[in-house]
Amino acid sequence: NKYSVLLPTYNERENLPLIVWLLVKSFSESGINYEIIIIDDGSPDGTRDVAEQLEKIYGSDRILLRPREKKLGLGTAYIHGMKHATGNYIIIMDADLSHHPKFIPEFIRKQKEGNFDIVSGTRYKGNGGVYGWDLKRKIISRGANFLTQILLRPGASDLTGSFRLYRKEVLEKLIEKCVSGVFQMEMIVRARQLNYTIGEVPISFVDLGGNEIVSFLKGLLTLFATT
Amino acid sequence: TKLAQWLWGLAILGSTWVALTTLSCQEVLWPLPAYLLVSAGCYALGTVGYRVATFHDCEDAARELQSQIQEARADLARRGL
Amino acid sequence: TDQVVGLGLVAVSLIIFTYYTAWVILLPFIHYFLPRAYAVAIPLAAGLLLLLFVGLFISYVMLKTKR
Repeated sequence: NKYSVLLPTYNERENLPLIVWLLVKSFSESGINYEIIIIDDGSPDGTRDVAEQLEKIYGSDRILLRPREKKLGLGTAYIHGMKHATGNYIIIMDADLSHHPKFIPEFIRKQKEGNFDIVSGTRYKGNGGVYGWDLKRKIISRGANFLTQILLRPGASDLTGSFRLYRKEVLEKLIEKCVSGVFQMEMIVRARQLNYTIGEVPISFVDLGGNEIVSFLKGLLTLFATT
Repeated sequence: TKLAQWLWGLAILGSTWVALTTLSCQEVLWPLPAYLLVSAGCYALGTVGYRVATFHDCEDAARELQSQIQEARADLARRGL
Repeated sequence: TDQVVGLGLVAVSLIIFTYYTAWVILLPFIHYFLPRAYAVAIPLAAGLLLLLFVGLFISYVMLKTKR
């Protein structure tokens, strides 16, 4: 098995070297075959320059740069990255250090254990949790999650998180089906529709205005009415 | 769709209620929709409250990350980044 | 504080639920309670108020975004 990590970045000059270092450490410690695909959307802060240095340090078979001209959205970033992925499993995560690569070996173990199509990191179960959220943020997050569980009954506890492992062909199929930031939520909902199996691994998330809340509600209601 | 499932459920409950309403049992019966609503509200409030109270603050994870960041910086600088 | 507030919410919901259950379900079989009509009127008013607030919040956010 080979695992391709897709890292969409925009102005992550500070974080990118650190996340790559942590990824390499985690993968090499557990002897996993991997590649890291960096999809930079034309960041003005020089993320691309840092990425090129990383490519030199770790080798271009491990670090693949697949930049795009401008910011084009997450879904298309995944499509773009996947075109160049040689692994049979895809891991998607944020490059801002909120998702720690130490969980990836657990994702892989979980996937093998149940032969799952998708393994999703969850902040809401077991030892999962968050760091750096104030009370308001916690209440909104828990409230939104509760509402989602009631309305969509998706069969996974963390729909808005974006730390997941997919079989490559499953992710391809899902992206093709998804239309909606809600994007992460729709992926799981469509997965349930297509009878894909989902495993969950608790993760710690180390870190939201009116706008985000309203667009979340809009997306939730759309999914509620259409799926 | 989920919406249709909800509408079906509500329609079944609603029509049962209408059929029944149209002495002490009757007294209980007529405010029953309000009772269901209040119960659902309480359940929602209680669940969210409980989950906020038991939401893990991952202090250890944050500390671990900070120390690894220092380590990563040093190592990457050594490799010429 | 997060824990206190969370458990506070649980306590409030339990108190409301217990009181309301006694009022609506137990009382007819047995009178610290308002007349029965209020058992429907108050939740109804509270629900409408909640909807109003949600509506106001959403329209406020949308107007701001537009501007």
